[in-house]
Order: sequence, then structure tokens, then C-alpha cells
Amino acid sequence: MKTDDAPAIEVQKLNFSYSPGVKTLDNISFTVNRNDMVCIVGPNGGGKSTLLKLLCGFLTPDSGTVAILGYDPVTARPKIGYMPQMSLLDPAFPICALEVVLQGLVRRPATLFLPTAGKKRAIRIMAELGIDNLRNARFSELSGGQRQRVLLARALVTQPELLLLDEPTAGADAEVQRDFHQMLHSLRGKMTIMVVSHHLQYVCGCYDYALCVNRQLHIHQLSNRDSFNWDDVFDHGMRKIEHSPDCDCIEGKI
Amino acid sequence: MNDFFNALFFSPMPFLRYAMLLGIAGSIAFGIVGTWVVTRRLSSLAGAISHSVLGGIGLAAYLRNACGINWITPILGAMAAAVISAAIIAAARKYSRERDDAVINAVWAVGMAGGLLFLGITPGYVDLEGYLFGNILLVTGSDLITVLILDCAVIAAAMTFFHSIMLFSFDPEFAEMRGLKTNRIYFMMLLITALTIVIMVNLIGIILVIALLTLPAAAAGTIVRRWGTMMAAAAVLCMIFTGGGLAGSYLWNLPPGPVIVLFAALVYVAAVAGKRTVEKYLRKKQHRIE
Repeated sequence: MKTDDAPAIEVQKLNFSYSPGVKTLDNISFTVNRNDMVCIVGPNGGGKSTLLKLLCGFLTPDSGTVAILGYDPVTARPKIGYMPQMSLLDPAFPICALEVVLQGLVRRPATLFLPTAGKKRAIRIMAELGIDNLRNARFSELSGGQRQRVLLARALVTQPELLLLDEPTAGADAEVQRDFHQMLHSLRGKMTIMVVSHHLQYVCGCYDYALCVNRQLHIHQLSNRDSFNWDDVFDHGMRKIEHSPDCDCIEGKI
Repeated sequence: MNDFFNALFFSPMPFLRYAMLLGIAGSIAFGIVGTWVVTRRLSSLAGAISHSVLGGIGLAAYLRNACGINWITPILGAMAAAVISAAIIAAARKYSRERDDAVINAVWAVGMAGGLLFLGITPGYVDLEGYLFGNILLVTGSDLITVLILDCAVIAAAMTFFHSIMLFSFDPEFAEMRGLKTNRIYFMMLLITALTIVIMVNLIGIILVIALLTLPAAAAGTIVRRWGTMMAAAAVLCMIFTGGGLAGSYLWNLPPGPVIVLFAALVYVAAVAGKRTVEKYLRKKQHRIE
């Protein structure tokens, strides 16, 4: 396959289970085209994180295939900009914001100095995200919204073709969520963006469609805002996910 | 205090001088490895490795005294035990992520039990205390050279893999995404930690080793902003702790090990308490401005 034309993500007949007999993901197939902007939604325990781990190559499917940009996930890793859940990071780690962003330049084999061009890129990206004044601030002393930007900057410094964000706005207030989505929106068209969202019914209006994972996968179109004024609740444009009756998410059934 | 400096610089007996030099040389390794141990949360693992060393010492003593295999020295046994423990713990992380704390404690207990068993069936007297508790005042010139070689190895590894180790310690998943071989990095960190422990345990004893691996780095972690600075600050603090502890033990005629440990713990508590007070004060001040 010519990898330049390959879709960003192509998953075919994917099955995965942690323990025999209990399928976490059941016969999942979907394609995400280049420069699409999609979100993954679904109830807790529905398999969102498992799917993300399979896309990153941290887990191997029982059957079926995963192709990222035409490669297998492990080979494609350098082209993926990954942003983990913030809660997984040690809050007491002594590190400043710039050092976190520069981590996006680390690669094998190990070198004593990071490339100068990369450092300049890191500083430019921090400026674009409005965090260049925080360069020397201790990461643990930043606010949630600032940390988000630092981690997004780190993912962008890797010059990704695919951006994978794991619940980037978990625990953030409406204003921070809005700013974050505005930032994501400004990246539209430059790379493929996939965001795991902890919201089940409403997501930001910037996504093209939603992948709803609940053991099986359903692709949902996003309806326009209905008559209810969501701006009053969320302070920014939201769109409703049209769950189909057979995906059973709303009742929380798994 | 003058007595102490006289004994340190002008006494014909070198023991205090050697102890001080060992404290300074050892602090470099302790500062670097201690930073890894504290930020990657390897303290219990360092405890397990340092205690499992007893198993190797016991087996070596048994093979020497009961079986007549004289080329197996206690330090060789200790080294082998430390490397095997590190390998078991690294494998536990790779194959059963959730259970590695159980494996760490099992290595701790099995190592000590094995050591006591072998020492029990070894004929003749074996000086267990010397191995376990060491004495910083009994170090020799060749011990100093060993520690300096250790320093070189630790500095070389820490500099070459600086960014990889920092990234792995902060965010292992992202390290994996950047193509780093995290299991190899982890095993290398364990191996160097084990090496440091074995060499230092032999000289200054388990308790001082665990204290100097954790307390200076933990105290440094409360004040610094950067991981690299933490290593340097931890090394300097470690030098202050050993120097101050040695001076205190000389002046008040107390055993040096415990004085060093208690001095280090006191500074750590003061650093944590001081940091909290300052933060509280700043928050109040900011609140008033708002």
C-alpha cells in the first residue's frame, strides 16, 4: 500500500478481550480519513481507552488489523502526537513547562543535547498556544488549563500527522474547554485529530463525527444544536450526538 | 569545632579524612541515583535490592567456607544477588504491571531469608554486622577509588540517557510513543541503582544507604524546578548531611551513621514544612491583593 495515500486510521474486524470469553471490543471496523477531526465517546468500561491503546500499539488485537497512516501502530508511533490523561502524571515531579514540551524531541538513540531546530520549534509552538511566558514555571504549579496546553504543545512538537488526545478536557471548566477546542480548531486541516471525550451526549461543534464505542462501534453524525440554548449551559457551541437505538449507551448498558 | 577540623585535616590518623572523602564521593552517586529513585518512585525497590543482597552474601559465605570455592567473594555474591533481583523486578513490571509491588516485597523477604539460611548452615563465624551495617569510619583508600569509579559510571549513564530517563520517569507511555525502549531504560536504572547499593552497603551499611538514596533527593525535590537541578542539589545536600553528621558524631562522641540519618531527616522535614508555610503565606498574600 502506498502509505502517503493511506487513511489516517484503518481498523478492520478488530476483536480484543482482556480475559477469554469476555469481549472488550467486538468486531470493530472503521476508517478515519486524513485531516478528519473526530471524537471517541462511550460509557465508562465501554472500551474507549482499550481502543486508544490498540491504536498506539500498547495492546495487540486478538484478531483483525489496525493500520495507522498505512503502517502498523508501533512503526507509526513517531508520526503520532500523543497526549495522555493528565491525571496519570506525577504532580510532584520537578520539571518546568519548557522541559515537558522539549520531551517531544526525545528519540532513540539517546543524545546528550536535543536538536536546536527542535528547541526553536518548541518555543514557537508554546508562543502560538499562549504559554511562552510559563516556560520556566514548575509544571506542578500550573493550572489545569495551562498544563493541558503544555501537554498539547509537547504532542505538537513531535510534528505529528495524527494527534491522539486522551480525555484532554477531563475536569476542566467550561471556559477552559472552550479555549482548548478553539486551539484544536485552529489545527484543523493540518493533521488528523482524534479526541477521546468523557462526555457521552454532547461534544464540541468542531468535530466531523463521533465514534461511539460500547463493545461494538457505531459512527454517529452530529446534529446541529437544537432549540435548547446550549450556550447557556456550556458557554460555547456544542453539538448533540445522535446515538442510534442499538448502541445502548444512554441507559449506560454495557 | 576546631577539634573536628584538626582531626580532619592534620591528624596522622586518616580515618576521619577518608570518611569525609567517601561522603563527598558517594554523594555524587547518591544525588543522581537518589533522584531516579525518588522521582520514579523506586524507594521500596531500592529497599528490596539492598536487603536481597544478604542472600548473595550468605550463599557466597557458604560456598567459600563449606564447599571451599574461594574465588567467590562476598561482594561478588552481593553483586549477583542485586543483579538477579533487579532482573526479577524489571520482568515483573513488564509482564504483570499491577503486581510488581508484591514481587518487590517477595524479593526483599526471600533474599533475607536465603541469606540467613545460608549463614546458618555455614560453619564458623561470619561477621554479618559488618556486611549489613558497615562503618563509614573504617573505609580505606581502595574503597575510595571504587566509589570514584562508580561515580564515573553513574555520571556517564546519567548524562548519555538524561532525556530518556527523565521522560521515562515522568511519562512512560509518552516515552514509549517516542520509540524509546522503556523496559531497557528501566532495567538500566535498576542495574545502576543495584550497583550503587551493593558498593555502598558494603562500606556504610543498609540503613545509611537507604537514607542517603531517598532523603537528600526528596529534600531537593521540594525546592527545585528542574529534574537536572534536583540531581545536583541532592548531591550537595548529601555532602552536607554526611559532613555535618560526621562533625556532629565527632563532637558529641556518637556513632556517625545514625547522626547522619537523623540530621538528613530533620532537614527534609524542615524543607517540607518550610515549603508549605511559604506557599500558605503567598496564597494569603495573593488573596489579599485580589
